[in-house]
Amino acid sequence: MAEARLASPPPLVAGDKSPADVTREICAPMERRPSGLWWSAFLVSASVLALGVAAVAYEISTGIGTWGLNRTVGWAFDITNFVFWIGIGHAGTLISAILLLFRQKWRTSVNRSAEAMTIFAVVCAGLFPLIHMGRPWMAYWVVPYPNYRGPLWINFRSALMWDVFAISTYLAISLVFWYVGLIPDLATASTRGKPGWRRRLLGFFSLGWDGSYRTWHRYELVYLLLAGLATPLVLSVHTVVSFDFATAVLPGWHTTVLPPYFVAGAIFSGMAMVLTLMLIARKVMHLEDYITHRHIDPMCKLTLLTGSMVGLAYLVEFFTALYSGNEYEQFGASNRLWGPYGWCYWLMIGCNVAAPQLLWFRWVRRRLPLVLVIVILVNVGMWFERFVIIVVSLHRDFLPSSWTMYVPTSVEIAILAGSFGLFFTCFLLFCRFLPMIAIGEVKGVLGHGQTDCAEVTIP
Amino acid sequence: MTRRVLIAVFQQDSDLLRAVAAVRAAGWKIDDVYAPYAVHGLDRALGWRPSRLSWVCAACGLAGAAFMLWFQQWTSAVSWPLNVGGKPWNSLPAFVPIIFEGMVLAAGLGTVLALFLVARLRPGKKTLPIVPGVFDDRFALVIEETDATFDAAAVSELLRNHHAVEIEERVWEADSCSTGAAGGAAGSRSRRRLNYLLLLVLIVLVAANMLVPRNQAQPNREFLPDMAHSPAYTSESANPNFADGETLQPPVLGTLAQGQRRLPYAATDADALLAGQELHNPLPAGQAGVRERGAVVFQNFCTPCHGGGGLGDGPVALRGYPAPPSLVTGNSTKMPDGQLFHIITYGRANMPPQAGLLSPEDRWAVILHIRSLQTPNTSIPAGTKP
Repeated sequence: MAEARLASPPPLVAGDKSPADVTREICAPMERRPSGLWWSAFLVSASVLALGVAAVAYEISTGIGTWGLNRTVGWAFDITNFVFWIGIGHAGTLISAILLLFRQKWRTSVNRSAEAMTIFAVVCAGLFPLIHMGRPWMAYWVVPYPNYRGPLWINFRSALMWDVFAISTYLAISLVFWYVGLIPDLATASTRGKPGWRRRLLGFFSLGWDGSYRTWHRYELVYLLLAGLATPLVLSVHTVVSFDFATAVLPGWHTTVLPPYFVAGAIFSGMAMVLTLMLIARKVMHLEDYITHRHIDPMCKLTLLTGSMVGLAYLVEFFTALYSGNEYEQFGASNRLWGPYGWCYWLMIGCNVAAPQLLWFRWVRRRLPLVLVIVILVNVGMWFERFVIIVVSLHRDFLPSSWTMYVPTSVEIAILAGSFGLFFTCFLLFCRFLPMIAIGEVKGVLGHGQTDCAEVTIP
Repeated sequence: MTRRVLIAVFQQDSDLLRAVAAVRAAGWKIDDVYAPYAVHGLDRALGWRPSRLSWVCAACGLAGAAFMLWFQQWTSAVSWPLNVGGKPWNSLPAFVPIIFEGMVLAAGLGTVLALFLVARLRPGKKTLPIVPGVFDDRFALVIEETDATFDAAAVSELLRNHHAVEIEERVWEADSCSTGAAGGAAGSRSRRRLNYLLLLVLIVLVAANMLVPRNQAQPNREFLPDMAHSPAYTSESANPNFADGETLQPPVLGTLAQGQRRLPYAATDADALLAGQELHNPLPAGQAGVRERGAVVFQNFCTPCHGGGGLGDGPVALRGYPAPPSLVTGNSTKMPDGQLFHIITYGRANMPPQAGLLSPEDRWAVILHIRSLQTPNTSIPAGTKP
């Protein structure tokens, strides 16, 4: 037993903490006044959000003509941003659900923030199809409700309709998963700190949780069931998003590799975003003891793995084009490399395939500023991947007479910036008002009494 | 009915696990354990059976999937069969993604709601820790004192041997576990106050609605007019884009509307003669309804001047407007149909052109009617010299 303990890796939480330390330190950001750094970050992201809101208001009151779309390129920034954000969300569910099923204990320090990130990213993603409708107040038409138009139902055979169901289910299940995980921590937080509206609100949402093991017993099972449901769900969501493209006949979209390629890309970009947030948050919120190399290292490895899967998918796309013998596919493939948007392709390859290869080296994985640079590059690269798939495939279609270029307008750029503003504003508020690390789960992996468990004889 | 319980507090989960095992071995009844986190191995130590919520999850998932399967088939094949690219009505493979999403959604939400129901969790319920620190780093083991044979001293001794830091006995009301009734009176008072406030707001709103008169002249405020107002010019509105400042522009000279035939004549007597030579009445005189139509047109458009019998004694002529020549005697009886058509179309002398009022078919029909007034009442075909 002693030898096993010697050989085992360092503890997940540094600083030899007791459960009381964990409660105090994780609840501390909620109970003290926010730091100047938090305020400046909040003001910057809130102003960028305000800019985005103004741009969306202008776009809705004036019309979609304020965007750079044209007859050939009917999807551009809007759908690129949509796919980008929905992809970001996937890492949260991967960490909270798939790693739970695989019993990866290191997930406990990051799962809460990753799930919050999922929800904010899905909200950002959902906004783009809505504002692309032009008349977003008609958005309820996507819901199959009895109506006086026949009733004329929505077309369930359309990939766009599947998208609506997949995204809304994903948002609902992610919210439920996140909230169920939060309940015990809300109860903990609601019994601490100064009495007032904050404690009352936390108490209201903690549903009268009293720590009874009869409830814990059921809760653990429900959490596992939710993880089991979320795992196929997360794989289905980006698969369905890829159907939006794969079921079309456009060269560059019409391939069967798209679903796995999209899912790998989604987890890749999501991992990069989780790492970005965690690397910043551990410094800003002083959580260095909770988010350690034991957490950063496996996340780097997952980024490397999924990044290499994405690189493989890029190769398979070219193989498909070559092997198909279809001249349109072959033209589409060469147009990506050497066409007018070729620089986007090479930027994507550099950021998504080349840069993560540095993570093979332990030396790089231990240098957190270097990791931060790499994952930010991955974020940029994954945005360009979606841009390449959408705009570069569209702008050279079958008819050379309809070939054209797409240039985003200032409104589109402001809306993209605004979505980042929304994401970071939500995340900063989350860091300030909710326990950003799962207190209960971290206490369970502290190691206090863990080795003694086996000695207890069960009657 | 009241229950007596013994509450032991532990600081280490390992102590708790051993104590639970020892208490169960001694045959005492464990009511519950309160813990700040799900202690690994505690459910096995307690010997509790797995929760049956998995069955709820399975049932909800199946129900969700079955509903989405039925709903998609019913809407796409029964309620409004929609042909999409010639696919069959029941295109099952296309329904699979939404069946799956329905299953996950129903299973997830259903299981969590079932958890809330059986664990009696609801929003706003008061959170009361059974002992201080049970949300932080303390574990509370609750042992029920079942009958008189329960030896509290022996139990306490055993628990102390397992490093219980605190042991106390409590008396519980049968159905109020931890929530006190203290908040009840204050709660109902504040609720009543809220109800009065809402009632007052309602009265003020109703009164305001009755007292403030509505200005009927002012249109309602429009919210999201949904393209009800077109930015395009209407046909009568002023238009700065044209030299004459009007939106409705005359057609380009020589333009023909669809179905219209070209009439290559000017409004001159010479061309009227020419038309008489060249145009044929396309309407067969014997066709049912044609003469009747001509009679109606004549009645409506010609009688004011020409009179009901075509004698030139219509009410307009009787009031001093220059009377037209008779249609039943003289020149008119000798003119070919084409010449009459030209005169009706372009007008002649005091007669205004009727082209804007009568369609070509009606003009030909009215000519047939005029012929029926004349003797002999036969058409005069083209080429007949008048």
